[in-house]
Amino acid sequence: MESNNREHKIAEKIKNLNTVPKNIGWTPDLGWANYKKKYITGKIIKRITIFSTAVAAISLLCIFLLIPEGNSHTIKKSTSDEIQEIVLNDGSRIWLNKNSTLKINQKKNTIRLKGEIYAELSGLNEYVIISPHTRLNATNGHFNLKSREEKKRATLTVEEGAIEALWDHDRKLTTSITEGIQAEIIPETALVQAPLKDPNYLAWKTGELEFQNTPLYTVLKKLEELNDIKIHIENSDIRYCKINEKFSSTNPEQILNSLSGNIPYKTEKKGENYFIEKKNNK
Amino acid sequence: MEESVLIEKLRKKDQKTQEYFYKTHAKKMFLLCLRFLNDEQEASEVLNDGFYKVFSRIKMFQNGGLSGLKAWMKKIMVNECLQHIRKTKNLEIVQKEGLSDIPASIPYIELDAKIYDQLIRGLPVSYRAVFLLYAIEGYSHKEIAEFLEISENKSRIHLFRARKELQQKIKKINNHGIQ
Repeated sequence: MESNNREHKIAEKIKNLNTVPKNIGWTPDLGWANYKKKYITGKIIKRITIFSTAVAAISLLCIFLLIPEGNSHTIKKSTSDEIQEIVLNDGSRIWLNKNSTLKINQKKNTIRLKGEIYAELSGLNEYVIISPHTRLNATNGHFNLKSREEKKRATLTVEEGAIEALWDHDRKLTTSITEGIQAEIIPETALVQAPLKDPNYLAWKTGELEFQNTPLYTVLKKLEELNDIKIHIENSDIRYCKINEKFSSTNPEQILNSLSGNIPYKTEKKGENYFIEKKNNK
Repeated sequence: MEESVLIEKLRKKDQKTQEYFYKTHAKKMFLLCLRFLNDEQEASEVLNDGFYKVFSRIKMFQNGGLSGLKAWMKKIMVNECLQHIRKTKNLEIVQKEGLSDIPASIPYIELDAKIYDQLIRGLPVSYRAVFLLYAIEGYSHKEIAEFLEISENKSRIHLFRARKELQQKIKKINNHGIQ
């Protein structure tokens, strides 16, 4: 009992102790400042950070999902190695070739093209088609327009209807290209029209080729154009071999293999270059 | 500030009242934490963790006026200290010896409370925690065993060893004066 009393006295002394040891720097003010930093200000900053991050993320998501192309009147398309079909509000259809870009403003009925398109216009709106080497005005009609920046000319092939082509901007010279005519437009210089001779001008869209009595070198030129390759004929005497064939593909390897059945040549491929060499007769 | 108003404002998480309450009672609570942990930095952190629990769980506090609130707060602080000790300190018995020569209590000589506080804080953490809980806070060995997740027997051994060390230190002071 006495021992308990002694410890009890010590306990009471210690419990009533109210002075911080001299070697301790802590004070109630310092303690509160640290408390505020960790549990009040720190929490507010954490909440603001989380809230701001959430708001930023939601905003980005909204921008990405709700406004994908600026607004519903504007269509932007870009292709690399595929063909894209676009249907406009008025039912007009446009096919965009590989390695091409298109920007359509359906409010203003303007089409900006860099590359190649085939268009079937519904006739409900007059469109202005702006490209690197020409500017067209068209309401209805079916046509193919090839106008790439790297080439110095545009090629307009009209399948149906009539398309007005501006070829001299300074003098505002326009020419109407009608059905069955292919026009080569050299800006500020000339517009050369001729009846369409190339039945395969739409091969990039249809994926089909047809040759009737066509010299080999013309066939190979077509393959070069469609596939962005280079084909070298090593022997001049096979250049003029006539080809009468239909192909349901524009693949150069497939076509060259098929042709080598009739013409004795071998093909060697090095990167984007193909070398055609006549086989020696034994 | 009137007791009921103070408690009501604390329940409403009024920041100014929290600051007032903190600054009024923090010193005593800090000394309590310092006694258990014997480290200013640790005691300061555990103190603030304890106050955070008091302020955030104030709605759990049943009616008991300010004295009840202070007792509840002290329990939270002790618990925070013990949790910290359990997490960070090694409570294993280092020495193994018989219990026969260990006193039932420590001798009482008239010493300043600060000296006793210093002596207790100088004990190894396991002895100190048990001594504080048993001799100062009045918990049983059963309760201490639960707090510290040790056996009741260990609790008894820690207490006996704490008393032995304190006895030796007090004897030294008594014989040679305070150094």
